[in-house]
Amino acid sequence: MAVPAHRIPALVVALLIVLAPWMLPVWIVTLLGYVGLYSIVCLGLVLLTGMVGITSFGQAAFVGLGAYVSALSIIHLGLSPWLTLPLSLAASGLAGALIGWLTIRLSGHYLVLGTMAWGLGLFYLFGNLQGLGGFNGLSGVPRLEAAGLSLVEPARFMLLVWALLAILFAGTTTLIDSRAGRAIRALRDPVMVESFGVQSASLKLKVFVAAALFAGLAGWLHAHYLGHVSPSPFGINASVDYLFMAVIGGTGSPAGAVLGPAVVESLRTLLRDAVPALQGVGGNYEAIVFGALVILLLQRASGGLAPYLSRWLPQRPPPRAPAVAPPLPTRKPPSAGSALLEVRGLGKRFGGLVALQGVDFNVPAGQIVALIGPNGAGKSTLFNLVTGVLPPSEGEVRLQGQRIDTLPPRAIAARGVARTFQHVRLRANMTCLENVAIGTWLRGRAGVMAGALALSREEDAQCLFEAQRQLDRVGLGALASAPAGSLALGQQRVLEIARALAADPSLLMLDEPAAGLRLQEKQALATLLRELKSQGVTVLVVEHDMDFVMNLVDRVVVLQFGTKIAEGTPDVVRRDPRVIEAYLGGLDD
Amino acid sequence: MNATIATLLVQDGLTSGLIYALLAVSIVLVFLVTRVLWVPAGDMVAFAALTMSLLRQGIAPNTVWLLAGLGLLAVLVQAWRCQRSREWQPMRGVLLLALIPPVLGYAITRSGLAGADAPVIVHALITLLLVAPLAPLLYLTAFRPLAEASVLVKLIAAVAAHYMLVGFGLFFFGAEGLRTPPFISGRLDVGITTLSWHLLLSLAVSIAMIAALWVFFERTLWGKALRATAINRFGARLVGIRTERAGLLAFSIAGLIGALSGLMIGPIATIYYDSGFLIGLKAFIGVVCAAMASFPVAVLGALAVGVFEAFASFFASALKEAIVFVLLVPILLWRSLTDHSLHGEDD
Amino acid sequence: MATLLEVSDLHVAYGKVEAVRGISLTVPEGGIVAIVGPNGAGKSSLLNALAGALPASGGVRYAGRSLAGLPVEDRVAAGLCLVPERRELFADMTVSDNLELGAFLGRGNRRETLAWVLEVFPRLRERLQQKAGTLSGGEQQMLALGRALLSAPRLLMLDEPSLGLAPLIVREIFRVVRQLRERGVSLLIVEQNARVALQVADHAYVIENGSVALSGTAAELASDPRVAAAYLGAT
Repeated sequence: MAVPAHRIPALVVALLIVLAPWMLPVWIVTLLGYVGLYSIVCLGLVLLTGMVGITSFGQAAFVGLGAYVSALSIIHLGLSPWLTLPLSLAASGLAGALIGWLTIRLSGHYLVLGTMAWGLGLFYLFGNLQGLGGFNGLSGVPRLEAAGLSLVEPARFMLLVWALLAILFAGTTTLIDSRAGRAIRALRDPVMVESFGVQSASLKLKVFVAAALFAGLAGWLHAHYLGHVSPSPFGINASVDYLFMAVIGGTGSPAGAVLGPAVVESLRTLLRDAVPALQGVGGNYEAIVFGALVILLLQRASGGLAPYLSRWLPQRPPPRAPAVAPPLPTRKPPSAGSALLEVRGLGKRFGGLVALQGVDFNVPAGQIVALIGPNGAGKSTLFNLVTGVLPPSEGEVRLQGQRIDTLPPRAIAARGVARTFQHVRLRANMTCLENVAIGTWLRGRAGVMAGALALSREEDAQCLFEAQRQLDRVGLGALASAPAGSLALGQQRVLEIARALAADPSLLMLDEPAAGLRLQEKQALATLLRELKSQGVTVLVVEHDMDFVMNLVDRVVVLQFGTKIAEGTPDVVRRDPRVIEAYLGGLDD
Repeated sequence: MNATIATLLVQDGLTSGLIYALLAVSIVLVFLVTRVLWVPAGDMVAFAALTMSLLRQGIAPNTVWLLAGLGLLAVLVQAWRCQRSREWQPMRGVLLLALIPPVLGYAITRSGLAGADAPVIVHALITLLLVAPLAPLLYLTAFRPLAEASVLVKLIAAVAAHYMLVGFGLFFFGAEGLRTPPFISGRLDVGITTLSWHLLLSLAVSIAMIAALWVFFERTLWGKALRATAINRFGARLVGIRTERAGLLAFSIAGLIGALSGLMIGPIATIYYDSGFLIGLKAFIGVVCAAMASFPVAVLGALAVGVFEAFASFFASALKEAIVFVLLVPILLWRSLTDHSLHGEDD
Repeated sequence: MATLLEVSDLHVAYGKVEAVRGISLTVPEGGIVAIVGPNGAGKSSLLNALAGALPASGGVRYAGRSLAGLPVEDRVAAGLCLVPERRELFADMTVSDNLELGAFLGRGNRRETLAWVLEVFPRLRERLQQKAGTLSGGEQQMLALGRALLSAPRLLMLDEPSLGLAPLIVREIFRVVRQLRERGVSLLIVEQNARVALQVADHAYVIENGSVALSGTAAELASDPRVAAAYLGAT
């Protein structure tokens, strides 16, 4: 069986780890043990900070929780060490769920400060609660034993740690490529993922809990290796350390989670042991060097070291769609000519400002309707009302007869509305295929656990197959493996349409798709939309480019200053004096 | 708990609260103008306190070497920038800022003018000279290159800078904690209670500082320019205000405030090389209450933290820090939900 | 007449969007030039690039010197000022402070200019101590214009001054704009409202899809049916 080229580095590392106890001196083996331990925590940070964007200065607190729960249950409950593992995990998982629920409601810098706050809070609790041994901690934590062998020797501990790390690493990489993984990678853009039905808050919480669990596991290992728990390894300095290690390695990929601790710990040992001249002088060199390193990396290479290394190594091939796969469930198409979207008396006020008032129109199934008007006419507001981003002040919106104006974007997506965005919202680092696959979210079911354990391979294949089908349909099939950020703007807009089509919508809503496009790109887009219409897709387009709209759509609705001033076929509307006045401007002389 | 104890606790709380309040003002100012969360604020305080203690003992503080090193780094960074843009004019200002304070400080501290028996005001001025420039120098080396980066990147950089400062702190100051003898000892009897002279002095200095800042921001052109930069960076550029100069000014003010606060905290607490972090964090609570935006609310919030801390210390001294920080989370939650300026903070 | 601003083959791109594709235009000293065209044509990007806020390639010569690489603040110091589409006022500061900050660089005769601004915009004089964010749309536009005038510009660029304003206010503002020529200010005005712009300008350019579609004197273009076609699509 041929080994895929990109897996070779991992296999080489694994081989080195296994051989290390025989080939390398004890102090290196011990070092490797700690590197493995920190890598487990950093892997959680890659998920949390790298993929979701939550910068956490509190992971060490979860490590401490795992360690203390294990030590306490041995001392007070007399449990054997291995039995305390589920307890440690349960404790850190529960704490992660509770703290995470609070923390992810915070935004921006408040979120980061929040992680500092509970990190510190827990640290002080460790040090001050009765029965926890104060700042000297608890001793007498028995060492681990497996099959009669004590695991306290550095070699055996190191192998245990790396075995666990390997399992978590494999799970993480599998998760990244799965349906849930794609959604997680897109969580930095909650508006976009919610418009395809992803429950971003609960998914964020799951990642938070996962990171807490990883940290708790590391805590359990830590306690049993040292035989001792005290608060100092779990304070804010340790949290900062973990984050710095992850940033130095690179939070963008799991490999960074291992590279960071390896580089940092090696440097640390170098500074401590190999430069004895500095030892007697006093001073925290590590802090200085790592602080400077982090600042330099942030200024020059914010992706960390892993991206540099990966240039020299074989790359993981991008995910490919299978040649055949059973189709995903589809929606029953609406009967042609029926009123698919009905807008009645829709209005929106922002404080004293009336953005929209008394707007009425229909979008019949199987037609293309354009919503046009000069700048400030209220087109974007109307779009946001229909897609659930904003609630209306008055009026209602119905989709196939049912009211949707009170629903959030997720629910509207579930009813069969898919949209594109005025400013393209794609994940630039993900391939075109992966971006389009996000559109299939509501047509699949596999969650985070299934993704990590590779239990949803079939469903993933179906999603990718569907994504490829839509890419082919819009003419971008050959670019499936290209990163979305490398496409020209016109292609990116078409890519967004493919993503929306992947949701199998009844109504496709396009927000200024022609903005910023060259003439040929606009012509190509118009051809695509005509093609889609002939296949029975219903489209509502918001635009201000009259040229683009005129030869393309069946009906035009014109807005100005928040009200509808004209409606009809393009020819009729273009000659309407009120429309001409609205666009060209007028002034009483 | 009776009235006497309560009054004394309130006084204690206000004495430290004033320091947190001044720091909170400096953190809000730096944040509004540069969007950097000034995490090393507390380290300025700690270094100033330690420098002052050493001067009072007649020892020449090592702060001058830290300042010189940072200054040299700033000169190198600026030289590299000038070389790239071929504009050498800005070099002059940086050279002045980077070289004059350490050279002057070195000369004075080794000259015998600043021995243990020199007046307090001389030592205070030397401390300001040696510590205040650290902030703008940090801006030039660490934060100015990150001007276009996101708020979170700037925050990580600020934490890294703090980390480095603590490392340097251990090297230059040692692990020993120091306490400055009070500038004026004793208490003033006002009938219903006694007030410590130090509290009154701190109060006077703080009020003077805040008044000076108020005049600066409300009545001077550069003060208004700083406010304008904080409100609307593009608008400020459109009237010719250079945002980098505004940033440098904001950091300089923050350095001055930090150094001044350090002078005042020295007599009331034993300060170690790493005490800065907790001091800064408590000031942060006041900042968060103010949604990072309002100076008066930040001051009130920080004063409240000081008083709360004094009472918590009385009742449950061991858990006082835990209580203070765990309480931060609901405050953050409240603020995060009501801070409308955040919507639009894309990462 | 001397040429104050000369733009040659300007290209402006931000992110993926190529907003300006090879525009060339001139503004004579003492002239009023209008740039009209439909929304999304690239007009604002053009002005922002000329002000230094967007990177651009191509030639821009102002008062005989090249502006390449010059940041926004330096262009303002040279007398090239912009009143942007969003006005970018200091909302929490008073009208008086906003005007004072306009004179930050200390160019020109501050006192006289301020007196003139308050004379032509009496509404501002009534609201000197009011916070800029509480003013109506029209008053904010007047304040933005006043603030820019206090920078003593030689060439003032206005980005969509009529945007979101009622016709009466627009009339008032353009009345003042006409008087600026006598004060030695040349103007480059971007407007979606073609009629108003063509009434006040000497010369105009019609921009479509990032390039110049038509150019000529304002009088010529005001009666040219191709201008309407640029907005409403070809018939």
